[in-house]
Parts: sequence; structure tokens; C-alpha cells
Amino acid sequence: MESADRKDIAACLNGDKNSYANLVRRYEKQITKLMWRFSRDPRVCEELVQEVFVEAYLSLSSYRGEAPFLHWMRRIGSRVGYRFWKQQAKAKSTVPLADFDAIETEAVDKVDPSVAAEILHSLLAQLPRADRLVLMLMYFEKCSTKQIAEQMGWSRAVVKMRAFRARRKLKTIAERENLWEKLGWIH
Amino acid sequence: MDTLRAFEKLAKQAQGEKVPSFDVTAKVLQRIRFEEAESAGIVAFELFASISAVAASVVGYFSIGALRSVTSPLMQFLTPLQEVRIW
Repeated sequence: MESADRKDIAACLNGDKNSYANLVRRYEKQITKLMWRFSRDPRVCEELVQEVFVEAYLSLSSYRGEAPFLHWMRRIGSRVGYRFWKQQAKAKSTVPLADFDAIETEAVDKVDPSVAAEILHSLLAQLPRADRLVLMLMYFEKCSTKQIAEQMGWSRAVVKMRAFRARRKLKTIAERENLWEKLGWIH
Repeated sequence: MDTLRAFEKLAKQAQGEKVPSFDVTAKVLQRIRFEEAESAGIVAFELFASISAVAASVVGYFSIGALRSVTSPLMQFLTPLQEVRIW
């Protein structure tokens, strides 16, 4: 896969845009999954995915090939997504946590994945965007503090501090909303 | 249950969510062409602006030189009158 990436990137830098189409098709699923974490509106998510690929094309000459192409793309994706959050108003389209009363009777392991994702999205949306981004990348994208620091151009100490602060805030929010009781996860 | 453990559990379940799929290839290529056309237009404009600035500088330089050689246009008109004897 990586040699195919290098071949397409080289062709693209020589002016062959169709080679870039190959790269788009190869990675649009992974980038869509990432950008879905930034917006759960399909229309907005699609726009963000497009923006990631356009930005990647315009800065393709800066790709040095030290890391896999997907890692480089994900870095751009995180920054595009973070910028998107910056542009949004503070009180955006979050789902009130009270709407999840319906899942009270569900067994612990049978909460629908999309419902679980919606709950998390609502919880995280109540955090400052930098803290939100750190936890989102940690829990959804399984990124380490080092990877997050590299992606966003922050120091590792800042990432750790934000993660600590975010988890503490999240605990306060979840306890205030009695979330774990609603989910039936506390007996 | 510890809050963070519960959160991790929720995150693990959320991983199984089906994410919508898009085909953005055509739109991406269209946007790239548009961006490139726009930047080409900007480059042409900047080139025109640069050439205009250079031309204006050259004209300005020679204009100042010419202006310095004329002491006062009004005096040139009056000086012949001063030399005329009126009596």
C-alpha cells in the first residue's frame, strides 16, 4: 500500500490529478470516520472530509514520507476538525443528556453503538474544544499523548495537562447528570 | 463504577458505530481545480500590479527630475514683464 501511495504522490506532484483521485478513494473511509467525530451531521461531515483532502493536495509537496501517508492525512484532519469547532458557537447542536432515559433498561453491553457515540459526543461537546479534542483522539482514535502532541503541534506536557483536566470535568458532568445510573452501570 | 472506566466502556461500544460513507472524489478534484484557477488569477493580477508599480516608479523618477529643472512656472511668465521698462 505504501509503495502505491508513493507512486500516486509522485505522479500527482508531476501534475497528474487522477493519481490524487486514487489517494482519495483509498483513504476517504478512514478520514470520514475521523471527521465524524467532529460533526455528526452527515452534510457537514462530508464537507469536512472534502476540506481535508483539498488541504492535503495543496500541501502535498510538504509530505516528506517519514510517516505513512494516512498518519499525515489524519494530522491534517485533526487540524481541520479543530478549526471547525473553533468556528462553531459554544452552544451547538448537542443532544441533551436527559434524552437518553430510554436506554435505562438496556443491559450494559447492549447499548447501541450509535447511541453510545451520541452520548459521548454530547458529553465531550461540553468541554473546551482543546480538551475535547484530546479526549476524542485518545478514546476514539486510540492516540497516545505523543501522537496527539505531534498532530496538533502542542507539547506533550500540554496534552497530558488537558487530558487530566478534561477527565476531571467529564467526571463532574457525568455525576451531575447521573449518567451512569441512567445507563444502569451503577447498582 | 469508576467514571473513567465507564467512559472507556462507552467509548469502546461507540467504536462499533456505523459511520456514513461518502464518495468525495469528484467534488475534491473539482475544488482543487477551482483553487488552482483562483490562485493562477491572483498570480496574473499580482504580476500586472508589479509591472504597473515599476512603470509608475520610472515615470515618477523622470518627472521629479523634470520638475526640478523648472524653477517656477509662474515666475517664467512674470520675469519677461519685470524686464520691460514701463516708463
